[in-house]
Amino acid sequence: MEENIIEVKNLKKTFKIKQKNPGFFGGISSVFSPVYKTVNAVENVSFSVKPGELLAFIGPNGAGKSTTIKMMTGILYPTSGFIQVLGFNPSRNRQQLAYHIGSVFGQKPQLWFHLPPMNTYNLFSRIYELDQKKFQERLKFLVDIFEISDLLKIPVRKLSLGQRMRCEIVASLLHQPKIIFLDEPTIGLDVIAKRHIREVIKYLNEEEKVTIFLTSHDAGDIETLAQRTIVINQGTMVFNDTTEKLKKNYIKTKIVELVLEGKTDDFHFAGGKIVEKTKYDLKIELNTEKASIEKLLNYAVENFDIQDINIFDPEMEEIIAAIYQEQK
Amino acid sequence: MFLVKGSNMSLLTGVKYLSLTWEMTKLSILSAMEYRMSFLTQVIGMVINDIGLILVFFILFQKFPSINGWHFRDTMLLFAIQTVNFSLVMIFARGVHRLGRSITRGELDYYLAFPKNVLWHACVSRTDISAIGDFAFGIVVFFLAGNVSLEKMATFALVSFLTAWMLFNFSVVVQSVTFFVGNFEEAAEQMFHALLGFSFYPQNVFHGLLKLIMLTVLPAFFITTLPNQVVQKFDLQILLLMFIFCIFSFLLAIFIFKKGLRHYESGNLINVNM
Repeated sequence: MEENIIEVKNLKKTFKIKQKNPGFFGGISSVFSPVYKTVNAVENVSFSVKPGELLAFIGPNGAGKSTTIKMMTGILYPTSGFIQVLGFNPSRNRQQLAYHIGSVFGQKPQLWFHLPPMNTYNLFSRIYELDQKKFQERLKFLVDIFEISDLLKIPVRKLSLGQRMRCEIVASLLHQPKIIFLDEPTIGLDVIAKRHIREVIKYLNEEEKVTIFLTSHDAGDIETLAQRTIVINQGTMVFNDTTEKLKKNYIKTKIVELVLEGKTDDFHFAGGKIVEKTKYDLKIELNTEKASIEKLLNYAVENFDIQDINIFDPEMEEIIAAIYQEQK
Repeated sequence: MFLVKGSNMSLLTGVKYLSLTWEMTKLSILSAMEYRMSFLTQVIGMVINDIGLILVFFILFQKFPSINGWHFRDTMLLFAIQTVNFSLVMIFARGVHRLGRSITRGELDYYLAFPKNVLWHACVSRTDISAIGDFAFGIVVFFLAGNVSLEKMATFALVSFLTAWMLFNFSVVVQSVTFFVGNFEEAAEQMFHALLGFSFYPQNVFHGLLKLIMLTVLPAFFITTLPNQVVQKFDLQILLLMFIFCIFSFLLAIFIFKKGLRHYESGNLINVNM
């Protein structure tokens, strides 16, 4: 039996948050007699990850996703519980662990903003104490698969968000980490950039056998990438099973938005529920078990002149509500 | 045998960190040079600022040639040491003045993700370009102060390094208070400027409680009087005392920072490495 690469047991993290009454006097009184509230950011979370897995760790804002990742990478000390990553205790052996893991925080860039990515890559090769010949080979390989050869000499501030994210991921892969933590890697990206990022994540996992721990708000990331999904809400784990099961049981709908030339009054499609309607706009909640997107679009194209189409995944909150519903 | 191996290891680690510090500083300077105009304005602006300050002292000593036994030449030496030690901190460890801000805004996350000492990384990853002007001016003033010899130059370099180290330690201590009390960035900056301000005056003008403060809370005595004495007239005992104070304050700074790091709460603000 393969040993777990990540082991988390009864993990807990609490924060003390200062409470302030509104207004000027409220502010003054909090200086002299501060009142604190304890918030449980992560509560009794337990899970394990096998080498080579591509695991999604999802939940709404404030669910405790980033806090959990930060504890696994040694950035935050847990209040209680047990964590072992690659045999290291992240709080005690943070520096040793950092040689073997990579992390990309979508909202916290690693690249130097005013300098071209190449400068940061060279610096990282020194920080990770890489053999210069091996570093050059690795860099060439990553530059090719991420298609960033034209971006290496352009200051980061001049790159588009999608280009920058590709360069960010390259930075976190230079030292050939065994595990990579990706926190919202597709945040703010357009459809094409998202697809590119997803392709390389898949490639890394399948070809390089890198274990990937992915958090995302985007149900599309999870559907296309993850073999297993953990759902966390208000610090507690509410789902830990295959992504297939999550999709089958809880991601049953898609929202299709249509902008029509003519009026929307005559729009009737079985298997789709109109959730929002204006004179020319329609939002249809489609049950993908009963009807396909293709069928809906065929019906729309045959009967109406279409100006615009948008397809959305259900909100994370809706998926969680469905999980709770079933648990009840 | 084991001890020798251990000390070799720490020596190697020390060399690696020094070489990385130089790499980071070069990168920061490169980053600043992306904007040539701003870079030149900062460096030249600081030189002009320093000239102004020394002119004030020149005018004062024209009127009062001796203040408590201190002459213009002594003040120039004091000024040279101060400018050089301050600029060394600002060139190689500017990040130390942003520690409080990094703590409250969750910016330490970035440094904690790397396999290096987090305090070192957070401090050396920033450079104040204008400090290059300060450094150059400090050296010029040292030569202008006169009586320059090889021995004096070596002592000057040594005490500048030691006092820069003390300034760094002091900043780590006050900035790390942020870990325990929340927002302390402004207060820490004020304390640093208070120390700098007091260090620009001959310490024999302070007595009683103020003297006690200069020896403890704001250790201006160690940053001003002792280095000045040792450059004027070499004294191994004084040098040793300075070195002991450096080690003591360094250990204290590391202890407080490490204790504080356990209280670090991170954050979710968007940070950018400039």
